[in-house]
Amino acid sequence: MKNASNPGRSHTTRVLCAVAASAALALVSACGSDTPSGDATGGATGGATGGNAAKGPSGTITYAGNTVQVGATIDVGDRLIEMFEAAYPDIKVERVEVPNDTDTIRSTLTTEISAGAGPDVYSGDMIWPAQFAAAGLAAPLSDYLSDDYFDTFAPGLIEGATYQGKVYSAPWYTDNGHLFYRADLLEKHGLEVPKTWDELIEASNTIVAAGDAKYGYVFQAASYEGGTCSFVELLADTKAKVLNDAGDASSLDSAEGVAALELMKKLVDSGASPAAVSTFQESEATNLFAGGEAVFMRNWGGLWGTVQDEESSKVVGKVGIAPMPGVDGIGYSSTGGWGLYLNPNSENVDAAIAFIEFVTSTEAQLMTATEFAMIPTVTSARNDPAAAENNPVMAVAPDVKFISRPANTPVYPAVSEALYTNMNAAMTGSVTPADAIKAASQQIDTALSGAGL
Amino acid sequence: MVIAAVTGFPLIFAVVMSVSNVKVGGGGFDFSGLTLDNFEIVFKSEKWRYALAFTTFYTVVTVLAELVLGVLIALVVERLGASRGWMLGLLLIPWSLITVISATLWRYVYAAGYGVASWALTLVGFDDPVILGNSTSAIAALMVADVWKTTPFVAIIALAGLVSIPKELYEAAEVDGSSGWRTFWSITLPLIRSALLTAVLFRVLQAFGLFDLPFVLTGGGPGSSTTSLAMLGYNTMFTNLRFGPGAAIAVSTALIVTLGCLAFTRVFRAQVGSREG
Repeated sequence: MKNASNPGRSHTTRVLCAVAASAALALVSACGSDTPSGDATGGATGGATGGNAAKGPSGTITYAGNTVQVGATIDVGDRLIEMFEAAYPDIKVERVEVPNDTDTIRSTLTTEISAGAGPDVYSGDMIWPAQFAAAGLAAPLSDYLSDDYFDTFAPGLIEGATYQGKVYSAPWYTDNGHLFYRADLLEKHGLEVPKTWDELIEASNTIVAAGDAKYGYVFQAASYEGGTCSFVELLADTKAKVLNDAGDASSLDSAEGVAALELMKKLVDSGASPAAVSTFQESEATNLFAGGEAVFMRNWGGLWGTVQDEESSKVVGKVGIAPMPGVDGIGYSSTGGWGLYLNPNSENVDAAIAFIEFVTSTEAQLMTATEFAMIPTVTSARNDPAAAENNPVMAVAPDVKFISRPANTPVYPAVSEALYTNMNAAMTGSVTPADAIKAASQQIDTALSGAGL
Repeated sequence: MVIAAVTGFPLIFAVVMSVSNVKVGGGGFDFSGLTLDNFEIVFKSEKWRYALAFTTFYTVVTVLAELVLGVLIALVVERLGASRGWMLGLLLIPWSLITVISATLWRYVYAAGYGVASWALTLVGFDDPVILGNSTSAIAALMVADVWKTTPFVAIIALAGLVSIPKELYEAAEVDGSSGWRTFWSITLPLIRSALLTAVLFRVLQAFGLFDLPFVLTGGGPGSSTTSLAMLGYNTMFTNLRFGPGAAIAVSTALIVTLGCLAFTRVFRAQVGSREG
């Protein structure tokens, strides 16, 4: 674990930061920078202490961002830091390596931050705001940034980052569930891109029966967070609701809820999907699809690059991407994505905020869209033709119907666990969909009441 | 002193955490109250009861299998002459692999579609088996991976015990016309019992803390059928950020395994002792 070395280093950094921060604070309030400073560093001693007090925030901050690479050359974090340091020569950003697994990132951040340390700015899953806010692991960005800033984002994103009236995360990039398909095979059999599940099942069975692919439709139904993503798409499709409107009880145990799980099971029972989807995460599905063994795949749009990479894919140039199918007509796409969070322990809040603002500026968002195929979060970059160019994921975006996971509760991880473990149990056939939904619903109620594990 | 502090602090911290209302926060942990609520939450939870049953079952089966196989391997290796060193080296390979890495290897073995084990099962008539997609076979798969990795450890400890048995005893037994089987039960086994006790205790402690194998191979699934106590504690603490109940799981697990080991040591001593007498 590379992160194990962080606390020590960031402690040294911290001392340096403390000096720099007080200088920075003084000038922000002095020259009225466009960063509303709010109660910024709270009790930090003000007073101009340095000669650089005329230039804006300065000093060193640490940034722990998840890795996005194209062709294993440069990481998006390094590229952003390079651009940022050119624009803000007084601030130095040190990139901290993070684990490559979301849950491990969360546990690393939790231990670091609750021990009073951790990176100044970190990237985190967009389902974290409620949990992190409730646990005091993230500082409210809305204390430092104005509504004008939050208005630059695409609709819906800021609501997802809000907990009890405060915004805790600046959306960095989004990603959605999509249907990847083999355009060459559909054409060969004279089939349209399926818009409904029935069409998808039929097309899968036709093409597999002809021996053109081993599997029809591969998706993620393993016992993990991604299983919840796949599941909420179908739940939205059958008009089931996970939580009631107040968000304090489960409303899953309904005919609609059972219908969603039965539909998911039907994908396997009809022969369209292999039984092994119950063990599939993103990589297993991608391996089969990129290996030319599956006709259809549900996966994140961000994997388009992998599927179109000669080194990892046998189906380059033969694939297309579309909105998810539904019960009747286009279905729902889970929204995923990452945002930037501010560590409440940060001693250089102004520099940290400047970095967050920069990463979500049109300029940086266009860079990440064009160079790293990441879907921008700010409207200006989303509407820029340069972002959509060479990015078919952006091109289908207008047709996509989005569905968020029920993440506005601090116990979301337990809610999600109830969803994916019971979904998975039903997919393996050990319980019926109706029993799985009942069990999930009870576990969600237990989680919301705080009475159980 | 330093060692005591390094060992003691996390232990005491966990115990304190398990009996407090814990709040995480930017400024550190905030403890309040003295409460048994955390333990109540844990003991009343069906998830915990399942994890306890699963972990216990897993420990008993894997440790027994490793004990039997380990002793058999040790008996064979002991008879090898010059090649014993090589054999030992080979034996140590699985044991020396980091579990996360060996688990990743097993993931390929078990993978549906292209895994060797799945392929082998299709040969004997299973149609497209999904080894990790069924509770029973997933548990069995974890056990096989565990036995593969840790049998060498038991074998080597048993071997150390075997080598220390004086040759004269075997010669005397032969003169007395004792059968091989009888010799094994009356001489070999009693004389390696303390070596075996050590091996078993080490294995029980490790197996009861089962974490990395299911973490890599199944993620606790299918459903939550391979969620061990350690995984449940980890999820409770670091995914759900519920430190109080998480610490209660850790503390109760430690108590259970300690009591289990103590009980086992007594029974084992009495058993083998009575055989001797």
